[in-house]
Amino acid sequence: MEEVLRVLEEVKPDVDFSVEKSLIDDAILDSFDIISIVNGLNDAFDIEITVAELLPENFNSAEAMWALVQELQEQ
Amino acid sequence: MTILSVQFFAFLLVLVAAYSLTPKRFRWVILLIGSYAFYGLSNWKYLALIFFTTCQTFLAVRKLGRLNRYIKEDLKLIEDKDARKAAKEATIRKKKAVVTITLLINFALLFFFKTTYMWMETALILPLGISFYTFQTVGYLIDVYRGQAEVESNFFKYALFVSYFPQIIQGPINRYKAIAPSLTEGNRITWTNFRRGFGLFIWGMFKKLVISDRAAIFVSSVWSGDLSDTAGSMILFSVFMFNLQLYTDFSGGIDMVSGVSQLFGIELAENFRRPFFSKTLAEYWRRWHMSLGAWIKDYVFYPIAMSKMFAKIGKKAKAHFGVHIGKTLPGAITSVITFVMIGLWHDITIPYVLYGVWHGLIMGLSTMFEPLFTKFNTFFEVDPECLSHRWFQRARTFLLVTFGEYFSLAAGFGILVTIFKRTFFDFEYSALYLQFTDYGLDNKDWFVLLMATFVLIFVSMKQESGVRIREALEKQELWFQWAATLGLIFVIMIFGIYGPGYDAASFIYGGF
Repeated sequence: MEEVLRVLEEVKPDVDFSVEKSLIDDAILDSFDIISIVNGLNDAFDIEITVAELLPENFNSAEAMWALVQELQEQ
Repeated sequence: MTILSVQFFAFLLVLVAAYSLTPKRFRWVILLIGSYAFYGLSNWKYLALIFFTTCQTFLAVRKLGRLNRYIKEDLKLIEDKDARKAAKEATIRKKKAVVTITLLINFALLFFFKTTYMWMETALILPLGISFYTFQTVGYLIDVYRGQAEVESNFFKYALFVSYFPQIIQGPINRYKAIAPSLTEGNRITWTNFRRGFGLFIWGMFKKLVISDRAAIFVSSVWSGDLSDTAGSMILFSVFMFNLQLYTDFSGGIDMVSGVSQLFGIELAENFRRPFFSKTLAEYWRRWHMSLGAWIKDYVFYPIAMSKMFAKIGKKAKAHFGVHIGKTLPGAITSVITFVMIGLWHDITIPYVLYGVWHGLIMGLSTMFEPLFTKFNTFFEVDPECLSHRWFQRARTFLLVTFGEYFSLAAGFGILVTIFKRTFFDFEYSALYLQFTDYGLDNKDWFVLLMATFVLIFVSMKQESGVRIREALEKQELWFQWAATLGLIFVIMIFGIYGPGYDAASFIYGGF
Protein backbone atom coordinates (compact mmCIF):
# COMPACT_ATOMS: atom_id res chain seq x y z
CA MET A 1 0.00 0.00 0.00
CA GLU A 2 2.82 2.40 0.86
CA GLU A 3 4.37 1.68 -2.50
CA VAL A 4 1.08 2.67 -4.20
CA LEU A 5 1.04 5.95 -2.28
CA ARG A 6 4.65 6.58 -3.25
CA VAL A 7 3.84 6.13 -6.96
CA LEU A 8 0.81 8.41 -6.64
CA GLU A 9 2.65 11.15 -4.82
CA GLU A 10 5.36 11.09 -7.43
CA VAL A 11 2.75 11.81 -10.13
CA LYS A 12 0.74 14.43 -8.22
CA PRO A 13 2.53 15.70 -5.11
CA ASP A 14 -0.19 18.24 -4.29
CA VAL A 15 -2.97 15.67 -3.69
CA ASP A 16 -3.47 13.90 -0.36
CA PHE A 17 -4.07 10.38 -1.63
CA SER A 18 -4.72 8.94 1.80
CA VAL A 19 -8.02 10.83 2.06
CA GLU A 20 -9.32 11.35 -1.53
CA LYS A 21 -11.95 8.78 -2.41
CA SER A 22 -13.22 9.99 -5.78
CA LEU A 23 -10.10 10.81 -7.76
CA ILE A 24 -11.79 10.04 -11.07
CA ASP A 25 -15.37 11.16 -10.39
CA ASP A 26 -14.16 14.54 -9.13
CA ALA A 27 -11.68 14.85 -12.02
CA ILE A 28 -8.69 15.21 -9.69
CA LEU A 29 -6.72 12.92 -12.00
CA ASP A 30 -6.73 13.54 -15.75
CA SER A 31 -5.88 11.07 -18.49
CA PHE A 32 -2.20 12.04 -18.50
CA ASP A 33 -2.01 11.35 -14.74
CA ILE A 34 -3.68 7.98 -15.26
CA ILE A 35 -1.08 6.98 -17.85
CA SER A 36 1.74 8.05 -15.51
CA ILE A 37 0.16 6.14 -12.61
CA VAL A 38 -0.37 3.00 -14.70
CA ASN A 39 3.26 3.11 -15.87
CA GLY A 40 4.42 3.68 -12.29
CA LEU A 41 2.35 0.82 -10.86
CA ASN A 42 3.35 -1.57 -13.67
CA ASP A 43 6.98 -0.83 -12.91
CA ALA A 44 6.76 -0.97 -9.15
CA PHE A 45 4.81 -4.22 -8.92
CA ASP A 46 5.83 -5.93 -12.16
CA ILE A 47 2.22 -6.21 -13.33
CA GLU A 48 0.44 -5.27 -16.55
CA ILE A 49 -2.64 -3.11 -16.13
CA THR A 50 -4.74 -3.27 -19.31
CA VAL A 51 -7.36 -0.90 -20.73
CA ALA A 52 -10.10 -3.25 -19.56
CA GLU A 53 -9.14 -2.42 -15.97
CA LEU A 54 -9.40 1.32 -16.54
CA LEU A 55 -12.69 1.72 -14.72
CA PRO A 56 -13.41 4.61 -12.37
CA GLU A 57 -14.00 2.16 -9.52
CA ASN A 58 -10.44 0.84 -9.89
CA PHE A 59 -8.82 4.28 -9.73
CA ASN A 60 -11.03 6.38 -7.47
CA SER A 61 -8.83 5.88 -4.40
CA ALA A 62 -5.42 4.59 -3.39
CA GLU A 63 -7.11 1.59 -1.73
CA ALA A 64 -8.93 0.69 -4.95
CA MET A 65 -5.64 0.82 -6.87
CA TRP A 66 -3.98 -1.33 -4.21
CA ALA A 67 -6.81 -3.85 -4.53
CA LEU A 68 -6.35 -3.89 -8.30
CA VAL A 69 -2.60 -4.41 -7.93
CA GLN A 70 -3.14 -7.34 -5.56
CA GLU A 71 -5.70 -8.88 -7.89
CA LEU A 72 -3.33 -8.65 -10.84
CA GLN A 73 -0.44 -10.04 -8.82
CA GLU A 74 -2.48 -13.13 -7.99
CA GLN A 75 -3.17 -13.92 -11.64
CA MET B 1 -37.03 16.66 -42.43
CA THR B 2 -34.90 18.96 -40.33
CA ILE B 3 -35.26 19.70 -36.66
CA LEU B 4 -36.34 23.30 -37.27
CA SER B 5 -39.28 22.60 -39.54
CA VAL B 6 -43.05 22.53 -39.13
CA GLN B 7 -42.97 18.88 -40.21
CA PHE B 8 -40.63 18.06 -37.34
CA PHE B 9 -42.91 19.69 -34.77
CA ALA B 10 -45.88 17.78 -36.18
CA PHE B 11 -43.84 14.58 -36.12
CA LEU B 12 -42.85 15.25 -32.52
CA LEU B 13 -46.43 15.92 -31.48
CA VAL B 14 -47.62 12.63 -32.96
CA LEU B 15 -44.73 10.78 -31.36
CA VAL B 16 -45.29 12.23 -27.88
CA ALA B 17 -49.01 11.41 -28.13
CA ALA B 18 -48.32 7.85 -29.31
CA TYR B 19 -45.67 7.40 -26.62
CA SER B 20 -47.95 8.44 -23.79
CA LEU B 21 -50.92 6.39 -25.08
CA THR B 22 -48.92 3.18 -25.44
CA PRO B 23 -48.57 0.81 -22.46
CA LYS B 24 -45.27 1.38 -20.64
CA ARG B 25 -43.76 -1.95 -21.70
CA PHE B 26 -44.01 -1.08 -25.38
CA ARG B 27 -43.17 2.61 -25.34
CA TRP B 28 -39.68 1.98 -26.62
CA VAL B 29 -41.22 0.46 -29.77
CA ILE B 30 -42.79 3.86 -30.53
CA LEU B 31 -39.35 5.44 -30.22
CA LEU B 32 -37.85 2.86 -32.55
CA ILE B 33 -40.57 3.39 -35.16
CA GLY B 34 -40.20 7.16 -34.72
CA SER B 35 -36.43 6.99 -35.12
CA TYR B 36 -36.61 4.99 -38.32
CA ALA B 37 -39.37 7.28 -39.61
CA PHE B 38 -37.23 10.33 -38.83
CA TYR B 39 -34.23 8.78 -40.54
CA GLY B 40 -36.30 7.70 -43.52
CA LEU B 41 -37.95 11.11 -43.90
CA SER B 42 -34.54 12.80 -43.78
CA ASN B 43 -32.93 10.59 -46.38
CA TRP B 44 -34.58 7.24 -47.04
CA LYS B 45 -31.75 6.05 -49.28
CA TYR B 46 -29.49 5.49 -46.31
CA LEU B 47 -31.96 3.57 -44.17
CA ALA B 48 -30.39 0.35 -45.40
CA LEU B 49 -26.98 1.55 -44.27
CA ILE B 50 -27.91 2.22 -40.65
CA PHE B 51 -29.80 -1.07 -40.64
CA PHE B 52 -26.71 -2.88 -41.95
CA THR B 53 -24.55 -1.29 -39.22
CA THR B 54 -27.10 -2.35 -36.63
CA CYS B 55 -27.19 -5.96 -37.89
CA GLN B 56 -23.49 -6.66 -38.17
CA THR B 57 -22.54 -4.97 -34.91
CA PHE B 58 -25.39 -6.79 -33.16
CA LEU B 59 -24.06 -10.13 -34.38
CA ALA B 60 -20.54 -9.19 -33.29
CA VAL B 61 -21.71 -8.07 -29.84
CA ARG B 62 -23.65 -11.33 -29.39
CA LYS B 63 -20.64 -13.38 -30.42
CA LEU B 64 -18.38 -11.46 -28.01
CA GLY B 65 -20.92 -12.03 -25.25
CA ARG B 66 -20.84 -15.79 -25.86
CA LEU B 67 -17.02 -15.82 -25.88
CA ASN B 68 -16.92 -13.77 -22.65
CA ARG B 69 -19.30 -16.25 -21.01
CA TYR B 70 -17.18 -19.13 -22.20
CA ILE B 71 -14.08 -17.65 -20.55
CA LYS B 72 -15.95 -16.86 -17.36
CA GLU B 73 -17.92 -20.09 -16.91
CA ASP B 74 -17.05 -22.97 -19.20
CA LEU B 75 -13.28 -22.72 -18.88
CA LYS B 76 -13.48 -23.67 -15.20
CA LEU B 77 -14.78 -27.08 -16.24
CA ILE B 78 -11.54 -27.95 -18.01
CA GLU B 79 -9.45 -29.69 -15.41
CA ASP B 80 -6.08 -29.85 -17.09
CA LYS B 81 -4.27 -26.57 -16.39
CA ASP B 82 -2.40 -26.38 -19.71
CA ALA B 83 -5.49 -27.23 -21.70
CA ARG B 84 -7.38 -24.53 -19.82
CA LYS B 85 -4.73 -21.97 -20.59
CA ALA B 86 -4.65 -22.94 -24.27
CA ALA B 87 -8.44 -22.77 -24.51
CA LYS B 88 -8.43 -19.32 -22.89
CA GLU B 89 -5.82 -18.00 -25.30
CA ALA B 90 -7.70 -19.42 -28.28
CA THR B 91 -10.89 -17.72 -27.11
CA ILE B 92 -9.14 -14.40 -26.62
CA ARG B 93 -7.78 -14.71 -30.16
CA LYS B 94 -11.31 -15.29 -31.41
CA LYS B 95 -12.54 -12.24 -29.53
CA LYS B 96 -9.79 -10.15 -31.07
CA ALA B 97 -10.69 -11.42 -34.55
CA VAL B 98 -14.38 -10.57 -34.09
CA VAL B 99 -13.68 -7.07 -32.81
CA THR B 100 -11.02 -6.34 -35.46
CA ILE B 101 -13.20 -7.41 -38.38
CA THR B 102 -16.19 -5.43 -37.08
CA LEU B 103 -14.08 -2.33 -36.52
CA LEU B 104 -12.63 -2.62 -40.02
CA ILE B 105 -16.07 -2.93 -41.63
CA ASN B 106 -17.47 0.07 -39.80
CA PHE B 107 -14.53 2.39 -40.16
CA ALA B 108 -14.16 1.42 -43.82
CA LEU B 109 -17.79 2.46 -44.36
CA LEU B 110 -17.23 5.74 -42.54
CA PHE B 111 -14.03 6.40 -44.47
CA PHE B 112 -15.74 5.56 -47.76
CA PHE B 113 -18.58 8.01 -47.27
CA LYS B 114 -16.42 10.75 -45.82
CA THR B 115 -14.01 10.70 -48.75
CA THR B 116 -16.34 10.28 -51.74
CA TYR B 117 -15.83 13.92 -52.63
CA MET B 118 -12.15 13.20 -53.19
CA TRP B 119 -12.49 10.55 -55.85
CA MET B 120 -16.02 10.71 -57.21
CA GLU B 121 -17.33 13.18 -59.77
CA THR B 122 -20.15 14.27 -57.54
CA ALA B 123 -19.82 13.72 -53.83
CA LEU B 124 -22.48 11.58 -52.19
CA ILE B 125 -24.46 13.23 -49.45
CA LEU B 126 -23.02 12.00 -46.19
CA PRO B 127 -25.45 9.58 -44.52
CA LEU B 128 -27.12 11.41 -41.65
CA GLY B 129 -25.20 10.99 -38.40
CA ILE B 130 -22.89 8.28 -39.77
CA SER B 131 -19.95 9.42 -37.64
CA PHE B 132 -22.04 9.62 -34.51
CA TYR B 133 -23.86 6.32 -34.77
CA THR B 134 -20.66 4.58 -35.88
CA PHE B 135 -18.75 5.92 -32.86
CA GLN B 136 -21.58 5.04 -30.53
CA THR B 137 -21.96 1.44 -31.73
CA VAL B 138 -18.23 0.84 -31.98
CA GLY B 139 -17.83 2.17 -28.43
CA TYR B 140 -20.41 -0.32 -27.20
CA LEU B 141 -18.73 -3.12 -29.13
CA ILE B 142 -15.40 -2.38 -27.43
CA ASP B 143 -17.08 -2.13 -24.02
CA VAL B 144 -18.49 -5.62 -24.50
CA TYR B 145 -15.13 -6.84 -25.76
CA ARG B 146 -13.51 -5.53 -22.58
CA GLY B 147 -16.24 -7.02 -20.45
CA GLN B 148 -17.36 -3.59 -19.30
CA ALA B 149 -20.94 -3.67 -20.60
CA GLU B 150 -23.84 -6.12 -20.65
CA VAL B 151 -24.87 -7.73 -23.93
CA GLU B 152 -28.20 -6.51 -25.32
CA SER B 153 -30.01 -9.64 -26.46
CA ASN B 154 -33.07 -7.96 -27.98
CA PHE B 155 -32.29 -6.93 -31.55
CA PHE B 156 -34.95 -4.23 -31.69
CA LYS B 157 -33.90 -2.63 -28.43
CA TYR B 158 -30.37 -2.61 -29.77
CA ALA B 159 -31.62 -1.02 -33.00
CA LEU B 160 -33.15 1.79 -30.95
CA PHE B 161 -29.83 2.37 -29.17
CA VAL B 162 -28.14 2.81 -32.57
CA SER B 163 -30.79 4.96 -34.22
CA TYR B 164 -32.46 7.00 -31.43
CA PHE B 165 -33.50 10.06 -33.43
CA PRO B 166 -32.49 13.07 -31.29
CA GLN B 167 -28.88 11.94 -31.11
CA ILE B 168 -28.59 10.94 -34.74
CA ILE B 169 -28.22 14.45 -36.18
CA GLN B 170 -24.98 15.48 -34.51
CA GLY B 171 -24.56 13.39 -31.38
CA PRO B 172 -23.88 13.44 -28.49
CA ILE B 173 -22.19 10.05 -28.56
CA ASN B 174 -23.97 8.14 -25.81
CA ARG B 175 -22.67 5.26 -23.74
CA TYR B 176 -24.78 2.13 -23.72
CA LYS B 177 -24.58 1.78 -19.95
CA ALA B 178 -25.76 5.34 -19.40
CA ILE B 179 -28.61 5.58 -21.87
CA ALA B 180 -29.93 2.06 -22.55
CA PRO B 181 -32.09 1.71 -19.42
CA SER B 182 -33.97 4.97 -19.97
CA LEU B 183 -34.49 4.20 -23.67
CA THR B 184 -36.43 1.04 -23.03
CA GLU B 185 -37.97 1.21 -19.56
CA GLY B 186 -40.98 3.28 -20.67
CA ASN B 187 -40.87 6.70 -19.03
CA ARG B 188 -43.81 8.79 -18.01
CA ILE B 189 -44.38 12.04 -19.84
CA THR B 190 -44.26 14.61 -17.04
CA TRP B 191 -44.95 18.31 -16.94
CA THR B 192 -41.51 18.96 -15.42
CA ASN B 193 -39.75 17.12 -18.23
CA PHE B 194 -41.90 18.85 -20.80
CA ARG B 195 -41.22 22.30 -19.36
CA ARG B 196 -37.49 21.75 -18.98
CA GLY B 197 -37.14 20.07 -22.34
CA PHE B 198 -39.04 22.87 -24.03
CA GLY B 199 -36.95 25.48 -22.20
CA LEU B 200 -33.71 23.86 -23.28
CA PHE B 201 -34.99 23.61 -26.84
CA ILE B 202 -35.78 27.32 -27.19
CA TRP B 203 -32.53 28.28 -25.46
CA GLY B 204 -30.71 26.20 -28.09
CA MET B 205 -32.80 27.88 -30.78
CA PHE B 206 -31.79 31.30 -29.44
CA LYS B 207 -28.10 30.35 -29.61
CA LYS B 208 -28.48 28.92 -33.09
CA LEU B 209 -30.81 31.39 -34.83
CA VAL B 210 -29.99 34.67 -33.12
CA ILE B 211 -26.25 34.30 -32.50
CA SER B 212 -24.74 31.56 -34.64
CA ASP B 213 -26.58 32.16 -37.89
CA ARG B 214 -25.96 35.92 -37.60
CA ALA B 215 -22.23 35.47 -36.91
CA ALA B 216 -22.16 32.99 -39.80
CA ILE B 217 -23.19 35.72 -42.29
CA PHE B 218 -20.16 37.77 -41.30
CA VAL B 219 -17.70 34.86 -41.17
CA SER B 220 -18.72 33.40 -44.52
CA SER B 221 -18.67 36.85 -46.10
CA VAL B 222 -15.08 37.42 -44.97
CA TRP B 223 -13.98 33.95 -45.98
CA SER B 224 -15.68 33.91 -49.37
CA GLY B 225 -13.88 37.11 -50.38
CA ASP B 226 -10.33 37.50 -51.62
CA LEU B 227 -8.37 36.75 -48.46
CA SER B 228 -5.09 37.99 -49.87
CA ASP B 229 -6.78 41.39 -50.05
CA THR B 230 -8.45 41.28 -46.63
CA ALA B 231 -6.98 43.10 -43.67
CA GLY B 232 -5.23 40.85 -41.15
CA SER B 233 -7.22 42.41 -38.34
CA MET B 234 -10.46 41.49 -40.11
CA ILE B 235 -9.28 37.91 -40.58
CA LEU B 236 -8.35 37.62 -36.91
CA PHE B 237 -11.69 39.15 -35.89
CA SER B 238 -13.56 36.74 -38.16
CA VAL B 239 -11.76 33.82 -36.52
CA PHE B 240 -12.96 35.07 -33.13
CA MET B 241 -16.45 35.33 -34.58
CA PHE B 242 -16.11 31.82 -35.98
CA ASN B 243 -15.38 30.60 -32.45
CA LEU B 244 -18.65 32.16 -31.35
CA GLN B 245 -20.49 30.81 -34.40
CA LEU B 246 -19.22 27.26 -33.96
CA TYR B 247 -19.89 27.14 -30.24
CA THR B 248 -23.44 28.49 -30.49
CA ASP B 249 -24.20 26.33 -33.54
CA PHE B 250 -22.99 23.08 -32.03
CA SER B 251 -24.00 23.59 -28.40
CA GLY B 252 -27.29 25.17 -29.49
CA GLY B 253 -28.06 22.15 -31.65
CA ILE B 254 -27.18 19.81 -28.80
CA ASP B 255 -29.42 21.82 -26.44
CA MET B 256 -32.27 21.41 -28.90
CA VAL B 257 -31.95 17.65 -29.31
CA SER B 258 -31.37 17.18 -25.57
CA GLY B 259 -34.57 19.14 -25.00
CA VAL B 260 -36.46 16.95 -27.46
CA SER B 261 -35.12 13.85 -25.76
CA GLN B 262 -36.09 15.15 -22.34
CA LEU B 263 -39.74 15.18 -23.46
CA PHE B 264 -39.50 11.38 -23.40
CA GLY B 265 -37.64 11.41 -20.08
CA ILE B 266 -34.37 10.39 -21.73
CA GLU B 267 -31.23 12.24 -20.75
CA LEU B 268 -28.59 12.48 -23.49
CA ALA B 269 -24.89 12.64 -22.59
CA GLU B 270 -23.59 16.09 -21.66
CA ASN B 271 -21.62 17.60 -24.55
CA PHE B 272 -20.64 21.14 -23.53
CA ARG B 273 -19.81 22.63 -20.16
CA ARG B 274 -19.00 26.26 -20.98
CA PRO B 275 -15.65 25.40 -22.62
CA PHE B 276 -14.49 29.01 -22.89
CA PHE B 277 -14.17 29.20 -19.10
CA SER B 278 -11.40 26.58 -19.23
CA LYS B 279 -8.07 27.45 -17.67
CA THR B 280 -5.98 25.03 -19.70
CA LEU B 281 -6.29 23.48 -23.13
CA ALA B 282 -6.63 20.06 -21.50
CA GLU B 283 -9.59 21.35 -19.52
CA TYR B 284 -11.05 22.88 -22.68
CA TRP B 285 -11.05 19.46 -24.31
CA ARG B 286 -12.84 18.02 -21.31
CA ARG B 287 -15.57 20.66 -21.67
CA TRP B 288 -15.94 20.97 -25.48
CA HIS B 289 -17.59 18.14 -27.43
CA MET B 290 -17.29 16.13 -24.24
CA SER B 291 -18.85 12.92 -25.53
CA LEU B 292 -16.35 12.73 -28.39
CA GLY B 293 -13.49 13.59 -26.00
CA ALA B 294 -14.49 10.79 -23.64
CA TRP B 295 -14.85 8.40 -26.56
CA ILE B 296 -11.41 9.26 -27.93
CA LYS B 297 -9.88 8.96 -24.47
CA ASP B 298 -11.29 5.51 -23.77
CA TYR B 299 -10.96 3.92 -27.21
CA VAL B 300 -7.96 5.67 -28.77
CA PHE B 301 -5.82 7.52 -26.22
CA TYR B 302 -5.58 4.87 -23.50
CA PRO B 303 -5.05 1.87 -25.81
CA ILE B 304 -2.16 3.65 -27.56
CA ALA B 305 -0.58 5.24 -24.48
CA MET B 306 -0.78 1.97 -22.55
CA SER B 307 0.53 -0.25 -25.32
CA LYS B 308 3.75 -2.20 -24.87
CA MET B 309 5.55 -0.03 -27.40
CA PHE B 310 4.74 3.15 -25.51
CA ALA B 311 5.70 1.59 -22.19
CA LYS B 312 9.10 0.88 -23.76
CA ILE B 313 9.39 4.46 -24.99
CA GLY B 314 8.61 5.60 -21.46
CA LYS B 315 11.31 3.39 -19.97
CA LYS B 316 13.93 4.60 -22.44
CA ALA B 317 12.98 8.23 -21.79
CA LYS B 318 13.20 7.61 -18.05
CA ALA B 319 16.75 6.27 -18.43
CA HIS B 320 17.82 9.28 -20.50
CA PHE B 321 15.79 12.21 -19.20
CA GLY B 322 14.67 11.24 -15.72
CA VAL B 323 11.54 10.02 -13.99
CA HIS B 324 9.17 12.85 -14.91
CA ILE B 325 9.81 12.79 -18.67
CA GLY B 326 9.73 9.00 -18.62
CA LYS B 327 6.23 9.10 -17.15
CA THR B 328 4.80 11.87 -19.29
CA LEU B 329 6.37 11.24 -22.70
CA PRO B 330 4.10 8.32 -23.72
CA GLY B 331 1.01 10.42 -22.97
CA ALA B 332 2.47 13.43 -24.78
CA ILE B 333 3.22 11.50 -27.99
CA THR B 334 -0.18 9.83 -27.85
CA SER B 335 -1.78 13.23 -27.44
CA VAL B 336 -0.31 14.42 -30.76
CA ILE B 337 -1.37 11.21 -32.54
CA THR B 338 -4.87 11.43 -31.08
CA PHE B 339 -5.42 15.05 -32.05
CA VAL B 340 -4.14 14.51 -35.58
CA MET B 341 -6.74 11.76 -35.85
CA ILE B 342 -9.45 14.14 -34.60
CA GLY B 343 -8.26 16.70 -37.14
CA LEU B 344 -8.38 14.19 -39.98
CA TRP B 345 -11.86 13.10 -38.94
CA HIS B 346 -13.01 16.66 -39.72
CA ASP B 347 -11.42 16.62 -43.16
CA ILE B 348 -8.38 15.09 -44.82
CA THR B 349 -6.31 18.23 -45.44
CA ILE B 350 -2.88 19.49 -44.40
CA PRO B 351 -4.31 22.31 -42.24
CA TYR B 352 -6.29 19.74 -40.27
CA VAL B 353 -3.11 17.73 -39.67
CA LEU B 354 -1.54 20.93 -38.35
CA TYR B 355 -4.65 21.57 -36.28
CA GLY B 356 -4.07 18.22 -34.59
CA VAL B 357 -0.37 18.83 -34.13
CA TRP B 358 -1.09 22.24 -32.60
CA HIS B 359 -3.56 20.96 -30.00
CA GLY B 360 -1.66 17.74 -29.34
CA LEU B 361 1.71 19.42 -28.93
CA ILE B 362 0.48 22.08 -26.55
CA MET B 363 -1.29 19.52 -24.39
CA GLY B 364 1.70 17.18 -24.45
CA LEU B 365 4.33 19.83 -23.82
CA SER B 366 2.36 21.50 -21.05
CA THR B 367 2.24 18.20 -19.15
CA MET B 368 5.91 17.49 -19.74
CA PHE B 369 7.01 20.95 -18.63
CA GLU B 370 4.55 21.30 -15.78
CA PRO B 371 7.28 21.19 -13.07
CA LEU B 372 8.97 24.07 -14.85
CA PHE B 373 5.82 26.21 -14.79
CA THR B 374 5.30 25.43 -11.13
CA LYS B 375 8.86 26.52 -10.39
CA PHE B 376 8.30 29.69 -12.39
CA ASN B 377 5.16 30.52 -10.43
CA THR B 378 6.86 29.82 -7.12
CA PHE B 379 9.88 31.94 -8.00
CA PHE B 380 7.81 34.93 -9.09
CA GLU B 381 5.38 34.34 -6.21
CA VAL B 382 2.37 33.95 -8.49
CA ASP B 383 -0.67 32.65 -6.64
CA PRO B 384 -2.26 30.25 -9.18
CA GLU B 385 -5.61 30.50 -7.38
CA CYS B 386 -6.00 34.29 -7.45
CA LEU B 387 -8.75 35.81 -9.60
CA SER B 388 -6.51 37.68 -12.04
CA HIS B 389 -4.40 34.59 -12.67
CA ARG B 390 -7.51 32.52 -13.33
CA TRP B 391 -8.73 35.06 -15.90
CA PHE B 392 -5.26 35.22 -17.42
CA GLN B 393 -5.38 31.43 -17.84
CA ARG B 394 -8.84 31.60 -19.37
CA ALA B 395 -7.79 34.29 -21.83
CA ARG B 396 -4.68 32.31 -22.74
CA THR B 397 -6.70 29.14 -23.38
CA PHE B 398 -9.19 31.09 -25.48
CA LEU B 399 -6.38 32.53 -27.59
CA LEU B 400 -4.77 29.11 -28.05
CA VAL B 401 -8.09 27.69 -29.23
CA THR B 402 -8.68 30.65 -31.53
CA PHE B 403 -5.27 30.24 -33.08
CA GLY B 404 -6.13 26.58 -33.69
CA GLU B 405 -9.26 27.66 -35.59
CA TYR B 406 -7.02 29.19 -38.27
CA PHE B 407 -6.20 25.63 -39.24
CA SER B 408 -9.79 24.45 -39.28
CA LEU B 409 -10.99 27.43 -41.33
CA ALA B 410 -8.33 27.17 -44.03
CA ALA B 411 -9.47 24.79 -46.74
CA GLY B 412 -5.94 24.24 -48.01
CA PHE B 413 -2.32 24.89 -47.21
CA GLY B 414 -2.10 27.86 -49.59
CA ILE B 415 -4.96 29.66 -47.85
CA LEU B 416 -3.37 28.92 -44.49
CA VAL B 417 -0.15 30.63 -45.56
CA THR B 418 -2.12 33.62 -46.89
CA ILE B 419 -4.14 34.17 -43.72
CA PHE B 420 -1.09 33.89 -41.48
CA LYS B 421 0.79 36.31 -43.69
CA ARG B 422 -2.09 38.79 -43.59
CA THR B 423 -2.56 38.45 -39.83
CA PHE B 424 1.08 38.92 -38.95
CA PHE B 425 2.28 41.36 -41.62
CA ASP B 426 -0.77 43.28 -42.90
CA PHE B 427 -2.83 43.75 -39.79
CA GLU B 428 -4.33 47.15 -40.79
CA TYR B 429 -6.20 47.55 -37.52
CA SER B 430 -8.18 50.51 -38.90
CA ALA B 431 -10.19 48.03 -40.98
CA LEU B 432 -11.88 46.91 -37.77
CA TYR B 433 -13.83 50.16 -37.41
CA LEU B 434 -13.82 51.29 -41.04
CA GLN B 435 -14.98 48.05 -42.67
CA PHE B 436 -16.92 46.07 -40.10
CA THR B 437 -20.23 46.73 -41.86
CA ASP B 438 -18.83 45.66 -45.25
CA TYR B 439 -19.33 41.98 -44.56
CA GLY B 440 -23.05 41.31 -44.57
CA LEU B 441 -23.99 42.69 -41.14
CA ASP B 442 -25.14 46.29 -40.66
CA ASN B 443 -24.99 48.31 -37.43
CA LYS B 444 -28.34 46.97 -36.23
CA ASP B 445 -27.21 43.37 -36.75
CA TRP B 446 -24.00 43.96 -34.88
CA PHE B 447 -25.96 45.48 -32.03
CA VAL B 448 -28.30 42.47 -31.83
CA LEU B 449 -25.33 40.11 -32.00
CA LEU B 450 -23.55 41.98 -29.24
CA MET B 451 -26.59 42.03 -26.96
CA ALA B 452 -27.38 38.37 -27.58
CA THR B 453 -23.78 37.44 -26.85
CA PHE B 454 -23.96 39.41 -23.60
CA VAL B 455 -27.03 37.40 -22.63
CA LEU B 456 -25.13 34.20 -23.42
CA ILE B 457 -22.11 35.30 -21.37
CA PHE B 458 -24.32 36.40 -18.47
CA VAL B 459 -26.17 33.07 -18.40
CA SER B 460 -22.90 31.16 -18.73
CA MET B 461 -21.34 33.05 -15.82
CA LYS B 462 -24.40 32.31 -13.70
CA GLN B 463 -24.17 28.61 -14.59
CA GLU B 464 -20.46 28.69 -13.94
CA SER B 465 -21.12 29.89 -10.41
CA GLY B 466 -23.46 26.96 -9.85
CA VAL B 467 -26.91 28.42 -10.69
CA ARG B 468 -29.20 26.02 -12.56
CA ILE B 469 -31.15 28.43 -14.72
CA ARG B 470 -34.22 26.36 -15.52
CA GLU B 471 -34.63 25.16 -11.95
CA ALA B 472 -34.21 28.70 -10.64
CA LEU B 473 -36.86 29.87 -13.10
CA GLU B 474 -39.29 27.20 -11.90
CA LYS B 475 -39.18 28.69 -8.43
CA GLN B 476 -40.52 31.99 -9.75
CA GLU B 477 -44.17 32.97 -10.12
CA LEU B 478 -45.97 31.33 -13.04
CA TRP B 479 -46.52 34.64 -14.86
CA PHE B 480 -42.79 35.33 -14.70
CA GLN B 481 -41.93 31.90 -16.11
CA TRP B 482 -44.29 32.44 -19.01
CA ALA B 483 -43.10 35.96 -19.59
CA ALA B 484 -39.48 34.79 -19.75
CA THR B 485 -40.33 31.88 -22.06
CA LEU B 486 -42.53 33.88 -24.39
CA GLY B 487 -40.01 36.73 -24.32
CA LEU B 488 -37.30 34.42 -25.56
CA ILE B 489 -39.59 33.05 -28.27
CA PHE B 490 -40.39 36.59 -29.43
CA VAL B 491 -36.70 37.48 -29.48
CA ILE B 492 -36.05 34.42 -31.64
CA MET B 493 -38.95 35.25 -33.96
CA ILE B 494 -37.90 38.88 -34.37
CA PHE B 495 -34.13 38.57 -34.36
CA GLY B 496 -33.58 35.03 -35.55
CA ILE B 497 -32.05 34.50 -38.98
CA TYR B 498 -34.47 32.42 -41.03
CA GLY B 499 -36.86 32.66 -43.92
CA PRO B 500 -37.25 31.29 -47.42
CA GLY B 501 -34.04 30.32 -49.12
CA TYR B 502 -32.14 30.30 -45.89
CA ASP B 503 -31.29 26.89 -44.52
CA ALA B 504 -31.39 27.78 -40.84
CA ALA B 505 -31.36 24.22 -39.72
CA SER B 506 -28.13 23.07 -41.28
CA PHE B 507 -25.75 22.44 -38.43
CA ILE B 508 -22.00 22.47 -38.91
CA TYR B 509 -21.56 19.15 -37.14
CA GLY B 510 -24.55 17.69 -38.97
CA GLY B 511 -22.04 17.44 -41.83
CA PHE B 512 -19.75 15.01 -40.05
